[in-house]
Amino acid sequence: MPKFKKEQSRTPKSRKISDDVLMLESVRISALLGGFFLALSLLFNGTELFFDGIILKLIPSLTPLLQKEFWVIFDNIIKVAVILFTFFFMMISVGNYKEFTGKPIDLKEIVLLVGLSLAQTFRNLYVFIFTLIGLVFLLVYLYLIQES
Amino acid sequence: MVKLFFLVFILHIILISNILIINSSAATEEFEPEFGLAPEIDGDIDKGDDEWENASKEEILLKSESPTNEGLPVDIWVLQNNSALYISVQFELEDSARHLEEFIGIIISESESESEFIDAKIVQFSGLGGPSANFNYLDYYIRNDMFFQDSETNGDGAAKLHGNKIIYEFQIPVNESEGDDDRDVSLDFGETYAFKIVYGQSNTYPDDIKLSNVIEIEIAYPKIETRDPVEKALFIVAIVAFSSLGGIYGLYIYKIVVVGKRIKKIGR
Repeated sequence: MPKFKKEQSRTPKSRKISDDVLMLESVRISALLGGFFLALSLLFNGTELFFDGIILKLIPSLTPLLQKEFWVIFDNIIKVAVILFTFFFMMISVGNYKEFTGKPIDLKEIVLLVGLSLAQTFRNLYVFIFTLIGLVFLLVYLYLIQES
Repeated sequence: MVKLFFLVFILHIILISNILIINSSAATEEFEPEFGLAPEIDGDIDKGDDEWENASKEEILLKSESPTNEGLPVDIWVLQNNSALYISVQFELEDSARHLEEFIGIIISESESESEFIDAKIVQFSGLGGPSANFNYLDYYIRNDMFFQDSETNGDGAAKLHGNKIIYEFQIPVNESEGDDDRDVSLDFGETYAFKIVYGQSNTYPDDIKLSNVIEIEIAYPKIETRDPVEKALFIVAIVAFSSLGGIYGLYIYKIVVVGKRIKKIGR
């Protein structure tokens, strides 16, 4: 009987399964983060309470030193940021999921994600413009890191 | 002789009626305020924020009991929302006519009657025109024509000098449950109340009230809010867009869960 237990070498199949589990974990985490920002986007871009209530009415009265214009810009930055974060994490999640299923992410899915992101901006023209610019930058960034 | 007596009698009647009319303190203006956005009570009219945009605006004369005093023309702006009544009193005075101390008070009656004034809201300005200009908002209750300071300040007030023009702003709560506190008038929807606008200088109330006049304000019922069609459409679009997004997201999560289970099965 051998004194030392021989280390069991992992078969290529089990290695594949462990990689798959890791990849699925990444898909899950990024999807959950995407969902979190989607919920924030629903609050800030969908509901009236946050859309023209919380930031623009409550906070300026608590901090009267700052101009109202500052809070309008701050409010719009939040609205754009939550949409871009949703897009970013969902893009990562869907990309990894497609890779996991053995297919690359195609144009149809990218267009769908861009469309769904822009659909959240329908109440504010400034949010629409800056989200569009942000989406272009994100797509270029994701494309470049994919290439490298 | 009878004719002369009759003539004197008629003249007497005319004179008495004139005196009664002149001395009567019947409300000069009746306000039916519009609903509007609550202005910030700071003594500024912020046109950028459309403050006081829907206010009912009238000019009245604050009169003195002395016949030699011409009185003071003031602009009265009245605005209302669901929770408060807003009154702004504005007037211009030359520097030479201005005193270091002055106040504008709003004395409120329990009803339309001018014999039931029970509540006074006063903004007392001190150091007017100087570097240490300062104001205080004071809440008094009135018993037998005596003013007593309320331990709990109800409402809000502010004032600011803009060149020769001074702007006073008041906020008085409406439709508040009175509870045990009878020191503040309870302004109810649908009722009309007499408001005496008073002007004076030093903070000796009511002895230092120099000028006054009475207005009537009908506290309007809150309007049933009707949604703008564009807002309605946006609301529906918001529901549709975010419901679709939620549905797609849910479906995607379901897919991930199914794949995860499959991987676990294969792993085993």
